[in-house]
Amino acid sequence: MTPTRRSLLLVCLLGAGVLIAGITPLRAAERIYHFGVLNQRSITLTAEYWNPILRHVGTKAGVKLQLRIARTANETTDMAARDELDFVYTNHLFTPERDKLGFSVLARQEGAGIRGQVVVPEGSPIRAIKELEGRDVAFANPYAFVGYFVPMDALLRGDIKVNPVFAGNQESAMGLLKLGKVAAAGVNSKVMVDFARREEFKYRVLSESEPYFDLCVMANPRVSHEVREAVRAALIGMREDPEGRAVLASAAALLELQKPRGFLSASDKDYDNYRTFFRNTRVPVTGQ
Amino acid sequence: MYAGLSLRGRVLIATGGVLLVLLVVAMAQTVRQTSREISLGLARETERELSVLAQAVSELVVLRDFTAVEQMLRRRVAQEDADQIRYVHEGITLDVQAESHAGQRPEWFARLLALEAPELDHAIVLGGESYGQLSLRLSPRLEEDWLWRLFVSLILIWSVGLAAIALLSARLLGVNLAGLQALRDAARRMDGGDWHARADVSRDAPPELRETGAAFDRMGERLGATLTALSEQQRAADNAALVSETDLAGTITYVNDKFCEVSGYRREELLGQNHRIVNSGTHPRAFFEEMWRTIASGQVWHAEICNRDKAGKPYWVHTTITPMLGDDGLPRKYLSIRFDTTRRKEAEDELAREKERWQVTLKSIGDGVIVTDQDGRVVFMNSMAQELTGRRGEVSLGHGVNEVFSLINEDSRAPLRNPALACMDENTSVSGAGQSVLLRPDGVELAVHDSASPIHGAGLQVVGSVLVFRNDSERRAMLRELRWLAYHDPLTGLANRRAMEGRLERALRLARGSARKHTFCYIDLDQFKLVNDTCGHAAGDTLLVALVGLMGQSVPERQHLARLGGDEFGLLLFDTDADGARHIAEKLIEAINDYRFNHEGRSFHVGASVGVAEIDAITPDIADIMTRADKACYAAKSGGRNRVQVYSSAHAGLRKMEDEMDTMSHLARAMEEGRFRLYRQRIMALDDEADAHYEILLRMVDESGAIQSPARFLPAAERFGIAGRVDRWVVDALLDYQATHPDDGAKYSVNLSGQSLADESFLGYLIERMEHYGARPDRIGFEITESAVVEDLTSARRFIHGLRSRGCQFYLDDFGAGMSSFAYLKHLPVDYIKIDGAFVRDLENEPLDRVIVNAIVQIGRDFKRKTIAEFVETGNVLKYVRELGVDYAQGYGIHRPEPLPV
Repeated sequence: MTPTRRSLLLVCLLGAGVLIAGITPLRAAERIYHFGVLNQRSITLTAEYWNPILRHVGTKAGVKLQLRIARTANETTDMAARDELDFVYTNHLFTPERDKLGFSVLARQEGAGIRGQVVVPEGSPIRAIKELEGRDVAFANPYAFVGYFVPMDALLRGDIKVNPVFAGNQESAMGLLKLGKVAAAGVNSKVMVDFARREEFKYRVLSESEPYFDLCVMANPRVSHEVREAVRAALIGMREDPEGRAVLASAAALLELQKPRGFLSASDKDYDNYRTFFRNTRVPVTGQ
Repeated sequence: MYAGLSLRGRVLIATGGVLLVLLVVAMAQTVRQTSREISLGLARETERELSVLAQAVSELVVLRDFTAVEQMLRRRVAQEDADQIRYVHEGITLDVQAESHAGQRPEWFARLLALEAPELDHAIVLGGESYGQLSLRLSPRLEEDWLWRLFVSLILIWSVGLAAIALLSARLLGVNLAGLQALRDAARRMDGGDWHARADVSRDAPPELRETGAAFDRMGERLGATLTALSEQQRAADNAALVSETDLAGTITYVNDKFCEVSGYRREELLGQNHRIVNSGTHPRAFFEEMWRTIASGQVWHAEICNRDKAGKPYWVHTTITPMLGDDGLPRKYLSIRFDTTRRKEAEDELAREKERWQVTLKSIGDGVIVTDQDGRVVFMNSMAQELTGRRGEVSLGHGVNEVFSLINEDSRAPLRNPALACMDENTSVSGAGQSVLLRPDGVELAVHDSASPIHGAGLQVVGSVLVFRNDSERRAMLRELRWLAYHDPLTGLANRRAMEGRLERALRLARGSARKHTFCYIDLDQFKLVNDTCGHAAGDTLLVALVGLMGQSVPERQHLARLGGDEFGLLLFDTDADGARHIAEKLIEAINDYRFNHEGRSFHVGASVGVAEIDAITPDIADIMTRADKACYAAKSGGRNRVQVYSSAHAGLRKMEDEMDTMSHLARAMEEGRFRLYRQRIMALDDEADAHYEILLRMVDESGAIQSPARFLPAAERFGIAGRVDRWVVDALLDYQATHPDDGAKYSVNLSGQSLADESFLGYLIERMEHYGARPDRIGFEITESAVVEDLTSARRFIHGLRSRGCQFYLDDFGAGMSSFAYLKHLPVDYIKIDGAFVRDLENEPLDRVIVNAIVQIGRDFKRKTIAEFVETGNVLKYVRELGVDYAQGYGIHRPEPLPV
């Protein structure tokens, strides 16, 4: 091979290298990460709340995040089980079965945590959970953690057998309690506070669990370490970043929250009490 | 041409021309002004509809359920006022166009109006994220139809006016010209031979015309009287009966032309002959002796005689012989006047024969027949009539038909008018209304179909009736059943959607004709799906029936509840406004909320969301009512369920959704771009490791180049109905591989979906491809699951038999995962049972799993089927599998899936 030809080949190889180097990051940037959100509110309200957050976090983390949500909380959880989600905002993945999926905790929203409560209307003659023996008690659905498992576990540990009435979601269960259709309700303490304030409903707490951190952002094990750390940093950084604070303030206003809820770093250890609960609960955990 | 026109014609043409010009000018002005206003209205309506539609599809696009979006757009386009709706998002374009409707107006009218409906766009943005763009173009056809009806009405009104003016003019002219016309007409008729024609000039005519007419009429009368007298005499002479005169010995002395004509003799052959020349020999001697005695005594004799003409043919005459007496009172001669009655006699004979034939016929037919006289007395009953009425014919004859054939109305049980008497009263045929029930003397009531017709005599007077009837019980019972099924839901017994549409039509008619208002409620059960999914469809049906009972108690009397389908109900409230409907719907929701559905120790609460739409004089059609109530119901659901929402065009609560179609679009692109890959995983024979055996697995290369597992795309393929296409691709790719790799003697098994098993053409396709590639059937197996088979067990069995007979083998996959595994094992001729991995993967820790696997292995041996353990991931599990006697093992502990060698 002559020196001229060798130089020409070198130039070609360099050119190809430059092209490949230029194309590869571009392809990586085009990948869409599916971010699932557990149904807590209506689908459109969820979209209005989360889309600005995901856009901000995606821009900061250098990835494209796309909101994914199914018709019901259970179906959204099934999406995670079917490996369709890269990130998910949930507390449904701590049962022994779903823990095997390997999702890990990245961050959680600010707040003191949530508790499972058994509540009655303020004027109810019932003073202790033992008096609920044989009575109708409303719960969200058979899959809700603090909306069913935690308060039901408290009742079973007291050897109190009640007639569970599933209302579909948290606020429906509270609505039944307000209408006097059930004697008590098993509820999420935080959702109960919001409901009572909005509906001007006064209630009494008969039983309350230890605090559990509220829903957290979890990452699929297939997401690379770099990407999950970039997303975690972008979420946590929202509280300090002026643009991020504005996004959180708008989102809080949308839900009529008293103050914005930012994100804090969290790890699997913070949610160990969920796993402990599921190992020891007296409520049957099947198919979840 | 003008010269030929009458005075009346000239006046009418001039008046009509002026009115026509006025009509054209007025119509042109009206159409131009109205078209402008309607075009502006269409633009405003498009904007408003687009806003509502965007809110309605928002939630669906967030869910990425583009199928539902398309269905919603199609439902909207199905309404008559929409022409085209388009939704564009991320390369997806849903372009839904209305089917071509001819409309009422003709095309030229639409072109003349030139109404324009603008196409407007609306971007769907949630939280700053774009979910696509929606555009809508409404159709101006309804407005064009409305204008056409207006146009036609105006034309009709103008036409009536024009006709009235024409009539008035004609009347005015006619008053003055009528006398002249009458005179002219009478003269023409008289000229044509009508001597009875009269001028009949009106009293309103001018005096000169009246006098001329009177003189003309007097002249006509005199002339007519003279001519009539002459004519009558001539006719009497020519058309008299057969007239003859004989002397006292019976010798003919005179015959008229008629006599000659009927007897066939010429007059000269008759004169001088004895009257016996026409004797036929029919009558006995005594007959004529009595005749001679009578006339000889000077009395008139009447009788009907059969004579014989010259050719020997008999003919009948009614004869009157009058003796013509002399001054002494004795007969001088006899005058005979005869009337030819031959035809009547023949008709009477024919009638008697005809009567006999009909009686025989009526006795043999399958319908009951009763014949009555004009007084309604039974004169005939055939055998079927006797059987159906339970009365013997000979006993019933002469009885009133009311007594023999007594009917009541099936529903009201009121007595019905007897059809035989009714048809004679009304002198026309009558037919029962299909509700007649016959009361028999033995107490049996029989549904009958009856009809009756009057029988007319020769003078058209009613001389009786014929009543025909048959047993209608079976047909009527069938009709009742069909009618009920057509308008009811069999599960709940409520009216169905079709019946509700009929009632909505009625409500719409009532509202249009008055100021009355009605309401329609669209009721959708909340959380019903939870019960259906958790407890099964049978429990869901039980719940529905119970809820319908509850709703029925909350709905006021004479209002209408219907099941529109699934868990959706409709409630039509007549004469109830929106507030009243809201009150009723809230009571209904409260009743549902109070109900608890208990199933196997669990108690479920269901709710309901109700959308209310008012029906008033301007409500356009049923589709509009249903759509409004549906939208309002949707808003009620979005607003938190268990509530009532009254439809209002200003309501902005219908908001947005997300969808799942993303996966489907990826899958479709992957199929188009050939991004599927075949992998294989070894199935190891535990007693013969040389037995090479693989399961074919499918992978998809996504757009970023990553390999995706089937869990990412197969559920979507199943849901959107393309799993069968995927199966065909896999089979084709495998056969191609085997054909190009003849050295690979391993056996491969392919997973098949339920859609392929239910596809009748799939078996033929497989056989054709195997023949095409020259494949060896013993190297190909198919894995099927219970869930795939359960869709159509019969088709699955046919499919398996079709391929096993050619040497292919079958695997029953995920065995034990379903509740009815053993039942399928009994009915499906498979070769291998693949034990569900859920029982295998924890064999070392779960004693119960070992018991189950052991049981399956034993059953496999009893059924002579090989067993395969899935999910063998560790050496310990493999050890247990061997100990339990499983024939084959498969899993990551044995072989990780690898791409098929290329």
